[in-house]
Amino acid sequence: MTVNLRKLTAALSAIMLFAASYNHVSAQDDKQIAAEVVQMGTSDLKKEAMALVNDKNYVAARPYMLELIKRLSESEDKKLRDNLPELYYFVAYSYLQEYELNKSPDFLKKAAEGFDKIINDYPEGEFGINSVNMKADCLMGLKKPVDAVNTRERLLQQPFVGKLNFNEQLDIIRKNALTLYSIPDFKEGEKWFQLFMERAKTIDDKVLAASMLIQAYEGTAQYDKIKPLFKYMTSDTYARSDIRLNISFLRAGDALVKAEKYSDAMLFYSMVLPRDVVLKNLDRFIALYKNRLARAKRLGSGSAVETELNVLLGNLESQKKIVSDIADYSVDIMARLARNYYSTNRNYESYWSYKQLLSNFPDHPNIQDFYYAAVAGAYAVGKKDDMFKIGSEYLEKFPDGDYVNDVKIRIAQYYLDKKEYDTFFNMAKAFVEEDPEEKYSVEFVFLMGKTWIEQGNYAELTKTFENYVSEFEDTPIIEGCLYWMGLAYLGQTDFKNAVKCFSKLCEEFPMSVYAQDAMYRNGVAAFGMGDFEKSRSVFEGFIDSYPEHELRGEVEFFLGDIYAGVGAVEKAMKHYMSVETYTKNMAFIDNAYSQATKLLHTFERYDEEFNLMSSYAEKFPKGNVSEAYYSMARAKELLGFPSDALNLYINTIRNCGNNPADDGVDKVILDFKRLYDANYDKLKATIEFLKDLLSTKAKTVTVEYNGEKIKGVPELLYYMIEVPAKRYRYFEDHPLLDKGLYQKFKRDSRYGAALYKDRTALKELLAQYEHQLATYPQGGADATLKKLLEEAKKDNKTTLAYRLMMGLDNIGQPVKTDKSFTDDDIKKSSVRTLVWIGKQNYKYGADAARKAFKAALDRDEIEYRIDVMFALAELEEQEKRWDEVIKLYAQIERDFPTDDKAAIAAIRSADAYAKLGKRKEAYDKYEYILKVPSYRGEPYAEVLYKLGEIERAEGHTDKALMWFDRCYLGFANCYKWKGKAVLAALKLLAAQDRKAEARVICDEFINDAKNKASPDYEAVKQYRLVL
Amino acid sequence: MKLLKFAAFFFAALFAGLLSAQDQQSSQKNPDRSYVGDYSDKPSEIMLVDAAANKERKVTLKSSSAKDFVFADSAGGELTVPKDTKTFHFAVHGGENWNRARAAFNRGNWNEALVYMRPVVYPLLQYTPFSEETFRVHGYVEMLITALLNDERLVEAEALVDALPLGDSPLIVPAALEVANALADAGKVESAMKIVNRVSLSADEPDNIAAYMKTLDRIRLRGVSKDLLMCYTKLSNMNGNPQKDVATLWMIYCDMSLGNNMSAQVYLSSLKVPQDSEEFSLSQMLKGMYKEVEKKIPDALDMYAEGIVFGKISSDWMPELLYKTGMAYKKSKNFVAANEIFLQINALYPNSVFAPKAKAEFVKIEKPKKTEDEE
Repeated sequence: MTVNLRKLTAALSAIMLFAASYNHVSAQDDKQIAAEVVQMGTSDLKKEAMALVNDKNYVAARPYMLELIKRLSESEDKKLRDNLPELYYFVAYSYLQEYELNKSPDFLKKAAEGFDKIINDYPEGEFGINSVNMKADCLMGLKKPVDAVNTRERLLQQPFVGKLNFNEQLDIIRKNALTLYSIPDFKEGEKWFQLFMERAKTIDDKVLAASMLIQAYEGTAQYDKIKPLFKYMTSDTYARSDIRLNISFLRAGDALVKAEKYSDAMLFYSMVLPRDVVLKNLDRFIALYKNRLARAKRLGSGSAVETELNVLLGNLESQKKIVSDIADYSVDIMARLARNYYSTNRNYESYWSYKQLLSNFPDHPNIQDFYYAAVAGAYAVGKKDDMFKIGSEYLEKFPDGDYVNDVKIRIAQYYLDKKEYDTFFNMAKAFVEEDPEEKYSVEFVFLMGKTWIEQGNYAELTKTFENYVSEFEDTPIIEGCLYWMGLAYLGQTDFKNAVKCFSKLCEEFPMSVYAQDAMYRNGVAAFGMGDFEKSRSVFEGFIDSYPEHELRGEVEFFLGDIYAGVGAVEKAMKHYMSVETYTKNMAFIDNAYSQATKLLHTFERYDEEFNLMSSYAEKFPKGNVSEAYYSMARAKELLGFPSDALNLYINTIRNCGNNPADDGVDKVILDFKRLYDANYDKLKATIEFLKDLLSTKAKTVTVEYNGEKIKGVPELLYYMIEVPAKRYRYFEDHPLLDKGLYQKFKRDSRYGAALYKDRTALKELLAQYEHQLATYPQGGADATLKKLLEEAKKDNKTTLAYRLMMGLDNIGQPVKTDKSFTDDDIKKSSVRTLVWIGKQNYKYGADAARKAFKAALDRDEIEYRIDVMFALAELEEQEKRWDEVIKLYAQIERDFPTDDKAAIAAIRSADAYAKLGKRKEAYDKYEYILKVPSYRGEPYAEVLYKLGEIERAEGHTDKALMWFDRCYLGFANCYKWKGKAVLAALKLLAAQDRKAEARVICDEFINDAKNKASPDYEAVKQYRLVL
Repeated sequence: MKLLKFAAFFFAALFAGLLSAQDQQSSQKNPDRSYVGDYSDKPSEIMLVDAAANKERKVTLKSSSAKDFVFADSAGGELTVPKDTKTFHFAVHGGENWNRARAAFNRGNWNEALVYMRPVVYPLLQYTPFSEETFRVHGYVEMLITALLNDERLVEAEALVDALPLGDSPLIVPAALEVANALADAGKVESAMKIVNRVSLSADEPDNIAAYMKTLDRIRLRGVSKDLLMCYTKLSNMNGNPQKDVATLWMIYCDMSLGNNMSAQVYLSSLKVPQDSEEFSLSQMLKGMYKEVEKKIPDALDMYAEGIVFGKISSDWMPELLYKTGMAYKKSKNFVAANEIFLQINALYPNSVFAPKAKAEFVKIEKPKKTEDEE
C-alpha cells in the first residue's frame, strides 16, 4: 500500500490549518465495524482500507487498518511486516483527522502516540521524518510547544539528519526558534536562537534570529551580548519591525539610563522604531510579499513556497493589527533620545530632538519641559534667534508656566547679544523689581551691572543699584548691587564710595560669590584713595584668606607699591618679587619689575637695580627687554660706568631695534646723545680730579690718622675727606664731576681717612674711569648712530634703520630722504618712528603724513602716543583745520591728564581759539588752565602772559597789566615768559605815560643777573633806554 | 540579492526531498577563469512548447541575427522566432546534471554545483535575449551567478556577465550587479563600473534601479569619480524613477567630492526635501558638507544633527553622516560627543568602511582628578 507521500505531505499543513469536512463515523458504527473487520479476510481488509484511504477517509479506514496491523504483526512474512510502518502512520493520521472533526485533545494524544511508534520503531523508514513533524504538530496542538521543539530536535540527529538537506535542517531550526519565540520561552529558546543565527544564510533570517536573541538577552539584562547583534538591526527586513523587539530596546535603554550608562542607552534607544514607522514598514513588507506571492504563483514555484509566503503575510497582518491597537509611544522614545543626547553632550541632536517634540506633540502633558529643553538646547548650540523664537512662544503660551523665569533670563541675554540695551534693561529692571527674592534676579543684577560697566554708564548703574540697596534690603540681589556699584565708583575714581561699597559687601556678605573679588577691589580702592594703611591691611588680609587666589600676584604688586611708598624697600622688594610666583599676567610682572627698579633707583641702589634688570632680561627674554637694558644702562651710568652704559644701549639698538613693537628701543635711541655727551666730559673731568687727588705734585698737607702723623697728603684729598663745606663747594664749582664721588666721600668708609695711608681705592677708581674713557665709543653720538645706521642698512633691518634716522633727526643730524614712506614702510616702523615719518611724508602731502600718524594711533602702544597726537595736531594746524586741532588737543588732555605735555596741549588748543579769533573761547580756556593744579609751573606763566596779551589787544590795559604782573612776579624762574611779560608791561605803562613805574620794573629785571636767561633780556635792556 | 535568494529557495523547494542522500561526488576545484569559450560551440537542445497540445518539440539553434533566432527541428523544418516574441515558449530539461547541480546548490556545495551547472547553463547564454516568460533561462543564469559569487569565482563571474546582453531583465540585471558589487568590494572598481555602464534602466523596473543604486553605493565607498557622477546624473534625470531624489543627492555628493562646490550648491539650494522623507538626512549631510567647505563647523554640525534626528539608522548613508558629525564635534573640541558617536558607529555598523575610521579618531579623555573637598 503506497501513497504518494509528496502529495500527502503537501496536504498536511492544509489539513491542520483549514477545516475539512470528512465523513463522520459514529460510535455505534465503530462497534459494528470492529465486529465486522474481525470476520473479514485479509485481502478484503486491504481492499476496504485502500478504498477509504484513497477517499481520504482515514477515520473510517482505521478499524480496517488496526485489524491489518494486528494480523501483520503476527505474520512471519517480512514483506508483509514491511507494510506496518505505513499502516501505523495512517492510523495515527486518522486520529488527526478525527481531531479536526471534534477538537478533542485525546485524539491529538493518540495521534502523537501513533507517530511516536513509528519514530521509535521505524526511524529509518520513509515515514520517519514525517512522523516526527506530525508528532511535533500534535504536541503543538496539545499546547506543549517545548515538547514539540524537543521532538523536532530529533530530526537533527541520526538517522534523520542524513536525509535532510541544508535548507530542510534550517527550516527545522527556524521552526523551533519561532515556536519558543512565540511563547515566549527565552530560556529554552536561547540555544535555538543561537543555532538559527549560526545557520541562517539570508539577511531576513539573520535579522529574525538577531531579534530573537536580543529579546532573550534583554530579558536577562545581558546587554553586552546584544551589542554584536546591532549590525543586523540596520537592515530593512520585516523582522526589524517586530514590535516586541522595539519594546525590548526601549526597556534596555531605560535600564541602562538608570545605571547611568548613557552611551550604551543611546545605542538602544536609537534602535527603537516609532509606532508609525513600524506600521509603515509593515505595510511596505505586506505589499512586497504580496508581490512575491503573485510572482511565485506565476512562476509555479510550488505550494511550499506559496504556503510559506502566505504564513508570513498572515503574521505580518496580525502584527499590523496588534501595533495599530498600541498607543503611540513615539513621544516616549523621542523624549528619551533627546534626554540621552543631552547627557552625552550631543547638544545639536538634543536641540533638534526637543524641537521635534515641540512640533509633533504640542498638547503633550510635558510640553513645558520640551519648551524649556529646546530653549536651553538652542542656547547651548548658539542658535540664538531660534532660542528667542521658542522662548517667546513659550512665554506667550504659558505666562505662568514652570519655566517662565528661566526663559526670561535667556531672552534677556539674547537682547544683550543683539545690543538691544533698552529692551534688555527694561526687562531686567521689571524682573528684579517684581521679585528681588527670585534667584534669577541675582543673575539679572549681574548682567545689568556688567553691561553698564562695559558701557561706562556708571551713573545709571549707581543710581539704580543704590535704589535697590535701600528698597530691597535683605534680598539676595544686594551683594551684586554692592559689587557693581563699587566697580562703577572705581571707574569714576570715586575711591571713597568704592571703598564704602566693597567694605560693606565684605563685612556683611563674607560668603558671597563676590566676596573675594570685592576684597581685592577694596584694597585697590583704598590704594586709589591714598589710604595705604587700609589698603595694606585689606591686601594682607586677602593673602591670609585666599593664599591661592588667582589675583594674589596683583595683590603682591600693590603691596609692593604700598611699601615702596613708605620707603620700606626690603618689604616692597619682597612683594614685587613675589608677583611672578603668583601670576602669569605679564603686564603685572613687568610692572612689578619696573616699580622695583624705580624704587632701587630712588634709593640709589644702582647695583641692585642693575642686577634686578639683568635677572629680568634673562628670565623673560620675550618681555620688555629693551626697557630692562635701558634701566641697566642708567644704573651703570650712575655707578660711574658710562661706557658700559653706552655699550648696553648699542647692544639694545642692535638686538632689539628691528622689532617695531618694542618702544624701549626708541627710548634708548632718543637718550643716546644725552648719555654720550653728558658723560664724556664728565669722565674727563672726573679723571682729572682723581689724578689731582693722587698727585704728589699738588699742594700737600700733613694729617693725623690713628695717632700717626702722615705727611704729603694732597690738600684736595684732605678737603674731600675732612672738610664737608669745602667738599660741597668744590663739587658745586665743578658740576661736571661725577656726583657719585661726592657720595662716596660723604658716606663710604673706604673713601675716608684710610685713604691717607692707602690710596688703592682711589687708584682703582681712577683705573675704572680711565677704562671707561678708553672704551668710550669714538666720534661722538651722531657718528655712533650713523655707524649703526650703516650696519642696519647693510643687514636690511629696515625698522632699525628708520628708527636710527628718526634718532639722528632728533639730535639735529637729519638723514636726507628722497622718498615718501609707503604703507610697507609704515607697517615696519615703530610708533615713535612714525611720528618722524609723518613729518617726512608731509613733503609729499598732508594725506601721506596723516596716513603715518593714523597708523601709529591704530597701534596698541601707549608710550609715544602723545607724541603722535601732537605731531598730527601740528600738521592740522599747518593745514588750518582748526576743528581737528582743537579736537586733538582736547583728546590729549583727556587721555593723558597727568602727563607733563597735557598742559601744552591745553595751551595749544586755547591758542587755536585765539588764532581763529575766538577770543572768548581762548580766554575761557586759558582761565581753565590756571585752575588745573597739575599744570602749575611754566604753563601757568605762559597762560598768564597770553591772557595779558588778549586783554591788551582788547584795550583793557589794567587787566592786561594785572596778568603780566602775575606772570613775572609769580613765576620769576620761568625766564622765557617773565621776560615777555615784563616787556609787554613796560610797553603798556609807557603808552599810558606811566614811565616811572615802568622804569622801576625795568631796572629790577635788568639788575637781576639770572634774568639774562630770558630771551627778551636784551630787548628789555634796550627798551630801558627809551623810558 | 533578495530575488536571487528567493529563486534559489524556489528551486530548492521544487526539488527538495528528491535526493535521498548527499552526493558524495566531489571534484577538483577548477581554476577561476572564463568558461564562456569552452561552451561557445556546444549545441544546446531546447524544447519548443505547444501549450495547447501539451506537447514539446526538440529544436536546435541554426542561426541568430540582431532580431531573430532561426531554429531547425528534427524533421528539418525551419522556424524563425523574433527575440522579443510573446507567442512562442521554450523549455529546457537539464537532465541528471541539473538535478545534481540543484542538489549541490541546496547543500551549499558551490564548487560541485558549478561543475554540473556549467554544461547546462553556458550553452543557454545565447538565449538570454528572450524574456523570462518566453524561455526561463534567466533564472538559470541567475543561479549560476549566485554559485559563482558564493564560490568566490570573480573572474569567471565577470567574464560571464561580460558575455551576457544585460538589457533590463529583472533577474539578470540584479545578478550582474551583484557581480559588480563583488568587484567593487575587491577593489576592482573599473571592472565594476564597466558592468554598471552596460546596464540599461527604466522606471518600469524599480527593483533594478534599487540594485543599481546599491552597486553605485559600493563603488562610491571606494572613491568618487567622474564616471560615478555620470551614473547618478543619468538617474537623476530619469522620469518616473522612484529614487530620483536620492540619485540627485548622490550626484551632488559626487560633485562636492570632486570639488565642484558651486555646482553642488546650485542643486542643493533648489532641491526641497521634506523632513519626513528618508532622503532628508542625506540632504542634510550634503548641506553640512557644504558648510564645512565654508569652514562653518557649527553650522555644519547643526545640519548634520538635524539629519540624524530625522533620519533612519537603516539608511545606507547613516554611517557616513554619523562619522562626519563625530568629526565635526571633534573639530569643535567636544570630545565626549565625538567619542559617543564613534562608539555608536562601531556598534551599529561594524562592517562599514567608517567603523575603523571612527575607531582611529577616538579621543582619550583624561578624567579630572577630584579635589580633596570633592573626595
